[in-house]
Amino acid sequence: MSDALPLLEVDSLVKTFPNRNGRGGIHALNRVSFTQRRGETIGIVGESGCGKSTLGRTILQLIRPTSGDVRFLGKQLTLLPDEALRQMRRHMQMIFQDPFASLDPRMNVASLIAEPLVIHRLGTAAEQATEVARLLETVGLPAEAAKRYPHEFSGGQRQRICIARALALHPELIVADEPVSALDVSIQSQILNLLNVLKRERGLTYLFISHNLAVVKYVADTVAVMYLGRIVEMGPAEQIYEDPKHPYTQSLIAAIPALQPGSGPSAPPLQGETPDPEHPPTGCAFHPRCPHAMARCATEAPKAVDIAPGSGRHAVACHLHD
Amino acid sequence: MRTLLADRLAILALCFIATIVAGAAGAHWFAPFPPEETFFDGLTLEGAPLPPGEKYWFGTDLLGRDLFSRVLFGAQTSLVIGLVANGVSLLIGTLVGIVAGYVRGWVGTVLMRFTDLMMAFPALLLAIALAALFTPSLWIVAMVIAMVNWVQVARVVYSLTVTLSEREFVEAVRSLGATRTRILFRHVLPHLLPAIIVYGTLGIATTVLLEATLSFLGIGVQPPTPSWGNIIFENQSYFSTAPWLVFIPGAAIVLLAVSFNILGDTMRVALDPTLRGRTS
Repeated sequence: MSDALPLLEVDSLVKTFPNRNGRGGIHALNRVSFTQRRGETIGIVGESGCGKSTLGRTILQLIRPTSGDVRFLGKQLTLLPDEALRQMRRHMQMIFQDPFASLDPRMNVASLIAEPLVIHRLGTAAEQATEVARLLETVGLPAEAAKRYPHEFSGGQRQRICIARALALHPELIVADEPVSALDVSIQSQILNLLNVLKRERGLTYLFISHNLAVVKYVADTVAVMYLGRIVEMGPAEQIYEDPKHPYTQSLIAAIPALQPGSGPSAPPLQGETPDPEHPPTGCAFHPRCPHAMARCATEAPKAVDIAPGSGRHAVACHLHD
Repeated sequence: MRTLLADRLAILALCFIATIVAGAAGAHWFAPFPPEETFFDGLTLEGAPLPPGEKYWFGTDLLGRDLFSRVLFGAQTSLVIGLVANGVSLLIGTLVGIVAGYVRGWVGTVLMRFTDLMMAFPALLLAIALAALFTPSLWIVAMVIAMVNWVQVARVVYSLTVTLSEREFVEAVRSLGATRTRILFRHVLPHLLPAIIVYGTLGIATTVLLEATLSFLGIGVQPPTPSWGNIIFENQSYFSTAPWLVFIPGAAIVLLAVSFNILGDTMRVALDPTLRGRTS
């Protein structure tokens, strides 16, 4: 599966949303860099407001970044003119959080799923109709769903429609932005299973964004933990969950409710609130809430350090691991 | 049950509109008298207009002309104003509003500031100025009314487009790779239709009355050509002694506007898949 060249390379991505008065602004993304291999599922986790949704949208150029590069399929997306970017969208698709808001309520399911094919002029109307039927079957919806409208479906079924639409173009990369957060817990696992099955059958690559560590654990090969616009720790899922290095990751993992009685949290719960992203703390953004904060944490921002020498796959940005 | 009633109303409204259109189109055959002819027996000995009766069905006006014939011929004018002038103003307003709302940037700013300018300018004054530039004829008057009336539509369409283009499904379609044109015409415009329909049906009464105002000022459709509006204005001083002169064309305007309203509402519901089968 793993090609020599990464599918996606994100390099020093910065996104600042300017203030009304033009000075300062919110630093939603602060020099985010990572690479993703073909077939690898990367889970992006973090609290609300940490910039994880902005990251997904900026990678897809739905929001243009302030600076930094996104290289996808060998092309520099940030430099592509509008029309070329529009063509590239065939290869990268997105699944949104709210499956009702992301479907045009005035279109029936058949035209919703066929829309990407129509947009990119793939196949005749008859071929598109067969493809829609095949996709409905793939995501586990009955064939007669084609004639109905989004409001006639439950949340889970709507998310299946969104997944079918994202699959229609056989994309190389699917950015899933909190795809199960709006769903009932009982439905969440069905959708996650579907995503996993599709990944196996079609060799998909997901960038999976979620605030829910338990959900990410279920799908991700690699996990990136974000805090205030930065990736603070990134590594193989089992290492992140078994042996988290960054104090922030440690408190997040400890906060996952345990199933066994008696096995209480192994780290103290997080104190305080997420800082105002417009005025982030100096040095390490996490230091005001960090149980291990030292003097230099307040002044000097830690760089990402490789802590698994040789593999190059586990990086932590913390002075404890310098 | 409710839909059935609404359907019946819609059919009634459609019948009324069809009658008016047929009456206007066939005015030459249906009208019992020429609309511009004054009749000696059309006035009482004191010179007062005649009430509705056997010979003059709707009575006569202050000059002793047959009101029924004038209303029939007036329908031609009023329909052209209500449909063409109103239609053109809807078209301009929608186009300006949707482009300004979706493209934004300097294009949007220029378009909307121009709209504000037009809005701040007294509509009647503008109409007078435009009408003075061209010799008033039915089509010129229709265009003048369209030029004055599109601003409100543009405002409404603009703010709706701004809200719509922030909706997630628009972003989702953009992420599929849709062009701007496709997003505008396939995903934004259909959602604007209900508002445009409502505005269009309301505009029928507004434009017909605006034409009447222009006629009253002498820059509308030139007399003796009748329009529903100028019949009312010509005869308004006789309102207490001959109320039918104002009441009959007034009722025609109201009924036409209400009929279009009902029809528009039925269309709005029929076009919205999320409302289908909910009211039964």
